[in-house]
Amino acid sequence: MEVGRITGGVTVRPARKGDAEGMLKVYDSFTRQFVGSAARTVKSFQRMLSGKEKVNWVALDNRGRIIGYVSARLERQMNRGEFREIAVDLEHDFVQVAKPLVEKVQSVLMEKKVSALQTTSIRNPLFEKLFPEFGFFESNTLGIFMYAVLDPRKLLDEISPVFITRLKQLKNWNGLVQIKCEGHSILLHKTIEETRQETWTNQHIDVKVELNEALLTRLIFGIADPIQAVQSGELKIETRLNEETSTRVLRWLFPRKQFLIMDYW
Amino acid sequence: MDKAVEFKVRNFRKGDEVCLAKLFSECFGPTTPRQLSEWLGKSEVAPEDIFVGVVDGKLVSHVNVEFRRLDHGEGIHLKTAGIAGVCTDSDYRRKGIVTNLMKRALESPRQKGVSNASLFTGLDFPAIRIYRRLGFVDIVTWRTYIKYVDYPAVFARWLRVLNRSLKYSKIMARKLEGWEKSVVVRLKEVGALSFRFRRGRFHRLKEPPKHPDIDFYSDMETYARIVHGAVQWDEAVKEEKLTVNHGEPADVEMFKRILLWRWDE
Repeated sequence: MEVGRITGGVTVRPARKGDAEGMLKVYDSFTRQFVGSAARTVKSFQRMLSGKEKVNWVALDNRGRIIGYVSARLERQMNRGEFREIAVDLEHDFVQVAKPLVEKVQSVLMEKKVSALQTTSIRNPLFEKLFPEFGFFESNTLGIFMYAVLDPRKLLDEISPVFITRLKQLKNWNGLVQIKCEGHSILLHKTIEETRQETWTNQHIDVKVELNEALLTRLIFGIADPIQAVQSGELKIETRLNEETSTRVLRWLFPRKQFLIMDYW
Repeated sequence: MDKAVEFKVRNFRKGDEVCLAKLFSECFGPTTPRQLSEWLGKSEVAPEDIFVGVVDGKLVSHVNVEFRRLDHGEGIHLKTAGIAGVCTDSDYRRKGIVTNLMKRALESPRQKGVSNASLFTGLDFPAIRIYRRLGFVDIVTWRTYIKYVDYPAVFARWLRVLNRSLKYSKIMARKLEGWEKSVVVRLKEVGALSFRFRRGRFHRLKEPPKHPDIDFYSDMETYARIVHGAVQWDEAVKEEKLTVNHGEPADVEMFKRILLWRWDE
């Protein structure tokens, strides 16, 4: 067993089977800031921790809690080391924790005589800053993730909890929001006591937004700006609120987000 | 679209592994029926979620659906129909087979109550036009980061992979028929690497030939970016990052196809 070491207040050591739960906590905390990540369980991490080709290391704080991990693997056909994921608990600085992990795993992979090391930014947008510092160069931008709505009514229903959670966190505003897409609507009602989805109401709608499937998709994944969409006429808005408040509600419902997906299929 | 052919779409059946392995070998690289059976066992993909296109009893096209759960914001994971393994035998492309397969593959999850579908592809793949026509929206592109530890070893392995792929790729074999040439790649950081294509195989040469058919000079980063499609060969020549010391235009064009693994017109 390799001996752990402390780098800038962070101890790193090879991951063990029993680390699955701690790694899952870090994954859940880290991916909260993004959209797109897959749902995982302890079993997912137990699978990650098994297999000869895997190189998994964890970072610990001074109380011995897992605050970050890196998962890499040896791809035998091309004799290449692949950094698959790095996650760091949101309470800690990503670069400070990730750097000693990458440094260590890189040297472990090099000891295994790999000819090349590789990673992709879809697994983590923060790689774009991290890996060039380790002498990696950007080699292509040709991969793309695409998304299609199959059933707009069902999708609206399914994502209503996302909007409810966001509206709940919006301070100093209560009211009724209608989101309409391809002829289907959801009604979201925020009061002092609670925020909920309504089946139907005869109350006045405070903010009604109407959009097509493509724009809904881009807003869900945080790659479109709702205000620009209003200005371009892509997003139609009817409201009794003043511009400042309606802008605030729109920005709260559709925040800018970064996309990440660590699990390919 | 080229002349239409009569084809059937059906679900995967036991016994399709051999034909499917041939198809995958041509489109994605060497695949054995055993690897396919193992993948079917591990991936939880049901036969009813695998769609194949059949022409005159021959399996010529494939699409499968893998169900995942993706974060759509605020930690709310929704089921998505992940489209994967989209491919068609090179003799049967541009006949509408895969478009039809995709429609069936999307209809099936819709009927099962799945609200959305997603996929990974390449910006330079012709199929991206089909996906966009079917309602898929571009969400995010990503970058690949590479660090070479031992490039001569990578080069040797690349030639081995080319030879293995050549066994299965009819279109590649057709294009390379009669092309018997030698190539010298001079890289600033590595020195000269060379190969000869003769009798349907790539042979690595220990020493560069005195009179190669193609001889060019570049730096490691530019060359790697060309190989991965991030930089166009002609663009690198124009910016004086790549110098062709010798090479007939038609031979250089063929070498560019080999580098990028692009055989379709």
